[in-house]
Amino acid sequence: MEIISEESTRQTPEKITIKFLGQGSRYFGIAILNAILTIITLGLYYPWAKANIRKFLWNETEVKDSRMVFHGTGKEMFRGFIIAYLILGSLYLGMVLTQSDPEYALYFALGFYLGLILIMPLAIFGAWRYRITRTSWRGIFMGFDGVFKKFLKLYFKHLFFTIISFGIYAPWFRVEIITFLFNHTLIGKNRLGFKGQGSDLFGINLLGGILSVITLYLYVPVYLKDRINFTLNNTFIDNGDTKRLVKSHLTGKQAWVIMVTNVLLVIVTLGIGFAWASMRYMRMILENIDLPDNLDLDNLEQSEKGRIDATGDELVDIMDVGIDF
Amino acid sequence: MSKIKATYFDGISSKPKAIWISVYSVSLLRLYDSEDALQAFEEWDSLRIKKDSFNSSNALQLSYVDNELRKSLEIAEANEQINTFVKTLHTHETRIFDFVLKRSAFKVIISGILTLSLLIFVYVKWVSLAVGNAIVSIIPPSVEETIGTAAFNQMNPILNIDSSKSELLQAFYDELNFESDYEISVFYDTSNTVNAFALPGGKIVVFDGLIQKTESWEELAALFGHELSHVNERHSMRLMSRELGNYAVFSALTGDMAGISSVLVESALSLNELVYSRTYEKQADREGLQLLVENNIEPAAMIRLFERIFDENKKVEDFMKDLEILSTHPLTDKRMDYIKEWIINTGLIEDHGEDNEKARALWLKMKE
Repeated sequence: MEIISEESTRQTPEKITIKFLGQGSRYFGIAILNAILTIITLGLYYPWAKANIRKFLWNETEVKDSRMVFHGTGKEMFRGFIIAYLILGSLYLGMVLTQSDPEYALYFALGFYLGLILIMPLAIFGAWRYRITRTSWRGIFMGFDGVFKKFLKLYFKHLFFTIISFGIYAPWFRVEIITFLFNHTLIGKNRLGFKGQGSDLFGINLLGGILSVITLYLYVPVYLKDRINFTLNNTFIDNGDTKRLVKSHLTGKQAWVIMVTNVLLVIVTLGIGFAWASMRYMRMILENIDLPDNLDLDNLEQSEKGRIDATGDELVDIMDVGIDF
Repeated sequence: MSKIKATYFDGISSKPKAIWISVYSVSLLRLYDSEDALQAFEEWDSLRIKKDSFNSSNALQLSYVDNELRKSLEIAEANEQINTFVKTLHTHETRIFDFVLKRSAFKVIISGILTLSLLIFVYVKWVSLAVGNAIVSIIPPSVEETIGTAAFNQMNPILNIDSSKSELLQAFYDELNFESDYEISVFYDTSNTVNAFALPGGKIVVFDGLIQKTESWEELAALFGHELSHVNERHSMRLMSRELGNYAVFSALTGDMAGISSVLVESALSLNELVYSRTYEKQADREGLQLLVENNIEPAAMIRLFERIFDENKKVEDFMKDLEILSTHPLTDKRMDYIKEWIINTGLIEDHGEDNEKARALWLKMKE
């Protein structure tokens, strides 16, 4: 009897859902405490503030009754924060101070924008890598095995196409970046993957752009929903044998109601409602995700890297200054 | 010791294992296979236990690094013993967040709003001022001059500087022998605005409209006294440094708070800035007066100067009187009052001063 019932449970695939339990009041409290500490320290607390927010968001996310954990620390992010401030700050100061001398001003301005262009890939790569490698679930760490040199090559190649096509190529550029980052992301020994096409994203952007303008921006939430679903529905998890797709059943109506009420909430409360709005937004995205059926989450195995305490200190790690692109 | 239920993960796989744990001592946690097991299968030393959870429920997550493996525990409902044990664990700054995560939501919101408003008030009122002054004290005058020059070059296209008249004005200024650590260069703008301004590092621009309003060379000298004091006291640098400090702090803030603080704080800041520059204007009046006295120039010229400006602005000022808080400069009739008061208080004679023939000649030439 027992064997049969086990068989039958195997036949009806188990739905694996995600729960997001974050409450607006708590998020508000953390943000306020962060703000206070940031003021007291004249801004230096910023990386720690960022770490607090992430620890909270991760830990209020529950997959199959176990909460995610963020292991990153303010101390780790502080270095990146200081370096980024110093580099961009001094270039900016140089630009201001040399304004009277057109020749130098030009060099500093060029340096500033060149610096920004060079820092972008490092920031994207570093931020993703940092977040992924500091995330665990049931003691299993996520992993990342992308090589920065390869990413840099890919980044500049597609940046070049984007520039010469006057930005038309941007959706393909974006897809290339997501594909690279996902393909090198590991959950235990499973690998994440992305099969989205630039042309689909281009279509979504075109339609979204046109309809947003025609409807006086009332279409924007639906457009954002399409972008979210494009990313999620093209994501798969590869366990070596099979590739299983993630599914998001977020609907346009749902997205529209939540985003419009969120905007109203923030306006009516003079901004204080941002905490509640953020939580509703997170819940909307996360709770609409269905992880692939039959994904064996009870038997994830730690990859070699995850076995040791997840603290690497390669140069790219310092670049997570919390800027989101 | 009572045991409670927990879920154990060995750091190798995500397979959950139902176990029982108990706090053995302040520094030791014991892990058992079952509730009635006598022998613990693992003992965790509190020095190596890390609290991983950061949420508003009673769910608790702990981890323990052992033989290069990071084992972890999930406790759905922690009891008091466990909670006391966890409080002794070495954690970083997270403990102050327990208040925010575990107390009643209402208390968190109210105390949060109150504390933040108090802090912003303190910051705007005192800290930002001190920060601004601290930044100024480390900026060398050469940097100030560079900034002043940059600003001047940027404004140049909208100014109508007359170089030969500027030479006259410069000669007039030099004749006054006012003391300054800066190399002062003065410029004559031919537009008929009744105005003048000083840039950091020593550039002073005077408009023709104002020069034509003056009816004695001493009045023009009084104007220079006022503008030079702005330069000497590095007023614009102080304002800029304060802005810079504010910018750094509030940009860090808004990174987290999605614009809320910037909206709320910005208005508070700009209101304060008015009072701030009014203080500066008053200081410049006072020190300008001092310069006149030191150089034997009739102090009453300063009163007359403001009378001329007062005439010009009378209509505007009648309107402004009720809105005094909104004007950057102290209202001129108020200004004349306190200048008179200073003169009387310092025992000076209003019309005491010596004539300066050269200065008068130069002034007359400009008036032509």
